Amino acid sequence: MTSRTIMRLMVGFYILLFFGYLFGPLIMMGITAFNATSFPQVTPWEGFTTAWFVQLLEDDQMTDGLINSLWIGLGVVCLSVPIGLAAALMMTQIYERVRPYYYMVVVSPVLTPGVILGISTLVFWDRMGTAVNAEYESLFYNGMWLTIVGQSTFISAYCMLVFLARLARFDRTQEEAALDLGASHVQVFWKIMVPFLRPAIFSAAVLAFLTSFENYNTTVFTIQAESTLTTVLAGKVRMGTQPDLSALAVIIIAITLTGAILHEFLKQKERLKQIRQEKAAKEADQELAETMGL
Amino acid sequence: MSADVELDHLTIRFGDFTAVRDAHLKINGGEFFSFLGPSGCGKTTILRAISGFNDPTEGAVRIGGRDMLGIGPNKRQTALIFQNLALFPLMTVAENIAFGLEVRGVNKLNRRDKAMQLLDLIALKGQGDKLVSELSGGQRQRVAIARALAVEPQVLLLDEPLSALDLKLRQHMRTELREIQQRVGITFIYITHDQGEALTMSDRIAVMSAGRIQQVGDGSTIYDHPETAFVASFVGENNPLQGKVLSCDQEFAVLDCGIARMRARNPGGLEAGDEAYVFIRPENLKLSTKGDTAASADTPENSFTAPVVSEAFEGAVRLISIQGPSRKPIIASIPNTGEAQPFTPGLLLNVCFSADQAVALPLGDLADE
Repeated sequence: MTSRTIMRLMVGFYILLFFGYLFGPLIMMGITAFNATSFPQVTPWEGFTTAWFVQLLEDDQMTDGLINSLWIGLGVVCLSVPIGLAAALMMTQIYERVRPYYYMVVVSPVLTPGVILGISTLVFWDRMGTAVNAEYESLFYNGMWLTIVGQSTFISAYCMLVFLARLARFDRTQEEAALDLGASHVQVFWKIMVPFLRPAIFSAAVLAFLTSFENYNTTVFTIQAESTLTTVLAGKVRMGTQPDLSALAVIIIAITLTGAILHEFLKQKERLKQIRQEKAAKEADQELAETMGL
Repeated sequence: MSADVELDHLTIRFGDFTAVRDAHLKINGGEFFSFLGPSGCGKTTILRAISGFNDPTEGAVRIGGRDMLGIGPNKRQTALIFQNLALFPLMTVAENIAFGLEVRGVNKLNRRDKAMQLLDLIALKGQGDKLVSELSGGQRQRVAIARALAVEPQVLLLDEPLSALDLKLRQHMRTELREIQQRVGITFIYITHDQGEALTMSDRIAVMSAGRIQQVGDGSTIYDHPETAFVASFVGENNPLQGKVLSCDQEFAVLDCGIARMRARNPGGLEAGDEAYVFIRPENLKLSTKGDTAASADTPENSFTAPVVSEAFEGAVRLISIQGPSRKPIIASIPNTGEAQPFTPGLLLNVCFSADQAVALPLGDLADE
């Protein structure tokens, strides 16, 4: 055996180890979702079943948590995307010398532990509620609302980062050209800025939703009497896991995979479109050269 | 309708940096006016002040007699064509052209009509539904012009719009721009560092350097009667020879330039004892080999003998570098007749020129080559 083949074998082994480490638990979990044993395990294999999926759907606690999670995710998107966009636009407007400090301030929630964000949100709204003598049913003590607000404190900073990346590529002369042609600043925003930012708005929304959906640290404090999918799951795991959790994992993995594949497909389509356009531009160039007799 | 544009002792500073110093001139309505100067000379700042993106630090910009202070770019009767064109990539060609009308609340049908009409003007009929990315450089150029004309401005401002095009297309677009200007009859203010563009298209040119307007005049005035050392060295090729004024009369000055005494026009009122440059263009130098009497100067001055340094062949002309008083050689250009003998390095030449074709100007910054 030459040293080259040894090298190759080692690289192969490493890759195997790497992917095993990444995907091993997921595959294992996926298998347990279909095993008929009442405890999530791969062996002994007691027969294929989809009963755990049925049990999952019939679990009211779980479905309630899921619905809450979806609503909270939606609320976080509606709150974080505009705040993140405003923060990013602000960054481009203020004096260059102030920018690092401003950046530090608006990014700090990302670096703050979620637990602290959760507790501080809870304390803040509780104090405010007490100060104005709010009723217990009011927004000040509403778990859903507090979770949306609490999560948005750091998720809007994520959104801002997405927008900043996109804005860095914005050509300011576009804005000036629109102004020069008579557009008001509001028109520049809606007709030039928003269309340019559209992909970033979409990415920020997806990011905000997913981050909200899987958040536990902040939510566990702010949700209070209500529950989300993550808090229900955490509660269940404490009692010992059942294969219906594996079933849930399989569903989430399936959705994620489908989304990723769809995204890749759309990106490919976009690439092909761009190539077509470039070709058309080149042809137009030639045509022009010919008509001008160059 | 076209409007005149007046710069009234305009000064623009950015912090400690003065981009424009005391620019004072009037551009007539319907004129094709160019600002010519090297990059960083302040010409773009002037353009942005006229369009409303920069505020004057001192002085004023007046369009059609009205002071523009406090009036935003979207409220001025100017349209600017940006150096990078700044077409909107997410809109079609027709939407780009109609943008100015859309933001003014013109309805869709009228917008479409106007866009069609302008597409016709720029020879892009039937291409309105294409995206900008599907057009060639020359076509994008025209779309930018059409987009600016759509809002029917009184003044069209152009910021080096041809610099991204290749040479042939650039030359073609020069004539086309001039034609469009004559057809629409509005004021064109054109910014360029390319003297060829400025000279061929403009009614008048302002030559700028380091924030100052050096000279304003039509093309031949700028070329034949430069008023400062910068203009003489920037517009066209020129040989500067430094010397001391020995004597002068009303029209001419005689300078001692080291290699010879030189007699040249004296438009700047130089006086005896002044240090000055004599500028003489390569095409005005007459060369003859020793013993050859074909060419001689019209005065006892303006003639000297110097060796050839090198020769460069440029097709229509031959450029001969001659040893001058300084390190930089004197350049002479002679038409290529195809039969003349080569100028080998070291060959001694008689060089002479007519005093009418040389100009003596006070010392000042020269354009970097």
